[in-house]
Amino acid sequence: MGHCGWRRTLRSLGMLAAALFQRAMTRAHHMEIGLAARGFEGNLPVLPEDAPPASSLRCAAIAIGLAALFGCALVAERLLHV
Amino acid sequence: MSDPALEARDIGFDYPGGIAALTALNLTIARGRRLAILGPNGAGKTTLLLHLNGTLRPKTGGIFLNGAPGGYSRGGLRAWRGTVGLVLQKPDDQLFSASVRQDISFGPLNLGLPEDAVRARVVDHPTHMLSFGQKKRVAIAGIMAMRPAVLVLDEPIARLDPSGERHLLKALDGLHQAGTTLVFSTHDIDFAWV
Repeated sequence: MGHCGWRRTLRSLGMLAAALFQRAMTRAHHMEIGLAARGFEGNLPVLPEDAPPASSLRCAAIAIGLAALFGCALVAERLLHV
Repeated sequence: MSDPALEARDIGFDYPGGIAALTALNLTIARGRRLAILGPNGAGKTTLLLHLNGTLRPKTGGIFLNGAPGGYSRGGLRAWRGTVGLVLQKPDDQLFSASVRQDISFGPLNLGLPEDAVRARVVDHPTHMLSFGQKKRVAIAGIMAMRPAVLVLDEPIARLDPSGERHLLKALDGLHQAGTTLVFSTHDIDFAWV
């Protein structure tokens, strides 16, 4: 193990990937059992989030952000085409 | 004792590699009962519990739900899981959503309940902000929101502190009083006798 030299690095990376894969598979299997116990049949239906009220401040901030982005794009295009 | 909610008749199961986990096991769980399954690590407690909700299928014998053999078809399993709720040892194996509200709503929606009915069964909180004990309670809530007749818990007090243990016991007591049949595994003799 370790990172002294590319051979050893490669070997360590391989071991790391193998260990990670094994853990990911085990976790996925446990999760599968857990979700199946709650009636999982292929999709994940959940209650929709109640959307926060669209305040005027939020709308204004979004509008200003979009305008700034558009402006930047215009300027960038000018600069690149000259 | 004449009204079993769940029965295991002569079940046997071995894992790949020929490791025998259960051999000729018989178990009758009467309705409204509270049953502790006590045994050391590797005794097959989890294997047995996984049979009780149809996750594992016995190699021999069968599981009977209210006197009828449990069905392993899609519809059979859906009905089975609506009747028998299983809480795993690690809550992280059961929680998937970033919001407690969405997570708890998952089981009831799978049972085909309308959104308004589900809304009445949930609370809201970000899942990653919870402590282990709280996650455990959310995992149990996610199952209880499905209103199962039988609640099966794998090592419910593992890794809980004494106060978490007391809270859980109180919650389980309440469910038992309300008529839920309880089955749990543990290796803690004191807990089994409570």
